[in-house]
Amino acid sequence: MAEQKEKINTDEWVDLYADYLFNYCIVRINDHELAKDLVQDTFIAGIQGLDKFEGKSAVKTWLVSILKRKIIDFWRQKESRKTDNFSYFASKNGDNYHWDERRKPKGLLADIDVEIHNEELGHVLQDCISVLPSKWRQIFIDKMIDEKDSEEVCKVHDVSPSNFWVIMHRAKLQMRECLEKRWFND
Amino acid sequence: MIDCKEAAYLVDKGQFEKLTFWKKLNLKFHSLMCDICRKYAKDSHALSHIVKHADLNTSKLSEKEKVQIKEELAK
Repeated sequence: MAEQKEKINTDEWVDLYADYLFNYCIVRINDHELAKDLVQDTFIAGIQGLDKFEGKSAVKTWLVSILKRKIIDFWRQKESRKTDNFSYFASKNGDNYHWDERRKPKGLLADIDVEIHNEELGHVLQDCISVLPSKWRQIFIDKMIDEKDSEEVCKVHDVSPSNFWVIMHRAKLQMRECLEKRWFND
Repeated sequence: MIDCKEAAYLVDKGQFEKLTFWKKLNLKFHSLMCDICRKYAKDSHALSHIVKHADLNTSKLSEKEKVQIKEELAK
């Protein structure tokens, strides 16, 4: 009987929370199969830890907290990718940097209508976010999408405020170029 | 006088933080003369707006995948 009860519970969990958890995950990981596996692992960890769940929070919140840890573990394992800094976008003339002719911003992004292309933009942005180095990605998402306090983001990711602004800036440089390329060239 | 590297950095930082008077003035002055940094500022603001409003929640698991998970959990 106990087994039966658990089975019904877990089916219900999948129906109620799978999409939410999957969405949460895919934005941060951008790999359909992997996101699915992490969601499944989250449910399994949830079932195994069910006796530890005291009902202090909603089941959904609790599952999200498990998933968060799994995503962080995944990021930790993954090697961080090649990083761009300003010298990639500019050339030095004496002591001063000037935009590189091939990489200079064209001011096109303001022409994109986010109301109309909402969904396609979501996919392109996910791709662009996914190629950010992992630390930048986490910080960029926390600040730009989750709109957390800068101070809080610094604390969570253990970076100094000045380092935080440099990371945000570099992430934006890379995101800007990625979005321009993907949206206007592809 | 600040260069494009510094100007672009201040553009991004200035979106979230109040810049000091001198930094702000430097940025204004640079932007007056530098067409590309003005475009960067325009793009950077647009990017923030797009990231905030684009639908990043469009992906779903298929019914088949949900059944697979259910089966996996029932094991």
